[in-house]
Amino acid sequence: MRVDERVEELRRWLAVARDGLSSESVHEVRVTGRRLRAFLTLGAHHVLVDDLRWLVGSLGRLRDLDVALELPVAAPGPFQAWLVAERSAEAENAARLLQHPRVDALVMALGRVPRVSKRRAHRALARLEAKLTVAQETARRDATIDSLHELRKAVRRTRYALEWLGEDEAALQRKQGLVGEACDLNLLERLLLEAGQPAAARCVERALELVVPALAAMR
Amino acid sequence: MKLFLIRHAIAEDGDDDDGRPLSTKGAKRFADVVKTLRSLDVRFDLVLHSPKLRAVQTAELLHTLVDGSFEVTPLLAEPPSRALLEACSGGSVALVGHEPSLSALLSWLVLGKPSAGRFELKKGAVACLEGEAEAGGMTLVWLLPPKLARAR
Repeated sequence: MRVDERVEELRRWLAVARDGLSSESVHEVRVTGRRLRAFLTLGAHHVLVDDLRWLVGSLGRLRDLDVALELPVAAPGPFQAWLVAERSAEAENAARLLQHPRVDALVMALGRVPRVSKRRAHRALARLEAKLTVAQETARRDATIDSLHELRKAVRRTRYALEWLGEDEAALQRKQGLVGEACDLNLLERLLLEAGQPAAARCVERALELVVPALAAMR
Repeated sequence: MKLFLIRHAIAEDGDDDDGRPLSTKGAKRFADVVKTLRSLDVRFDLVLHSPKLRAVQTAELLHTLVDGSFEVTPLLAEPPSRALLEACSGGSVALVGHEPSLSALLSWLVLGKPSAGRFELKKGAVACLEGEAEAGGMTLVWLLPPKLARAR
């Protein structure tokens, strides 16, 4: 297993993001960062994990606003105008963050992380799969949006680990997509509340009440 | 605050200085240092480390002593600076870096001047300081050469 190609990908997307913070570049920096975190998990590394979490997390609000802007509900109107203004302010924070010396130091350090043996990686994968099972059982039992958020994370981590190992992850990708739809609705609900639109937020909340139990029961 | 200045463990030779890994001997000897730190009840809120591989791998070996987080910083691959001191937040912070910068930092914090050569930090050595992270603001509490950890 080699990490250098993925690090090069991160370097490229960071350059694109620094050049204007397009929605795609923000998304790709976060996705590549998460894939690299999965690699570190497979190698049982502790170092650099917090740095990747910091990078991915710091772009989270910007990504949330981009996701909301892509939803049909964000048609021209006050909510869309609010999202655009919020994005503009958040983009300034993100631009500063991407200039932080920690970002380049992280990329440099990641580029030299040694290979992970298949044996060690499979041991780590077994741990991730055990956590995924627990997350699935919790979601089934609780049927709450919070448990779906946790399930989504567990699915994503396991999926990226399988990807590194060259194993089939299509079923998890589908599951991640479905659970992700509910999480996006929850994001929309939060943003509508933040934007001062409680009636619209309640509509989304009611839709979630129908969707969450079905997704939580999904095998 | 407590500040622990830690020089990376023994690394292999190589043309790519940033990518030199720890040698087997270096990792094994530093494991003894970690055991000694554990016996002294040393814990870290924050571990700042240089991005060079030998420092990354040395920091990794400290993970059982970490209650907080790790952070990579280029400031530990450069001469000591105020920016580095400002990055030290928490009650117990470890800085994993290189010579001659670390002994210059030690001198700066204890004696008030960043002159190298006043203290000797062998590879894998740990210096424990206490006080305010500013020029002349800290006291050297102890200095652990790796040989002493092996002798335990």
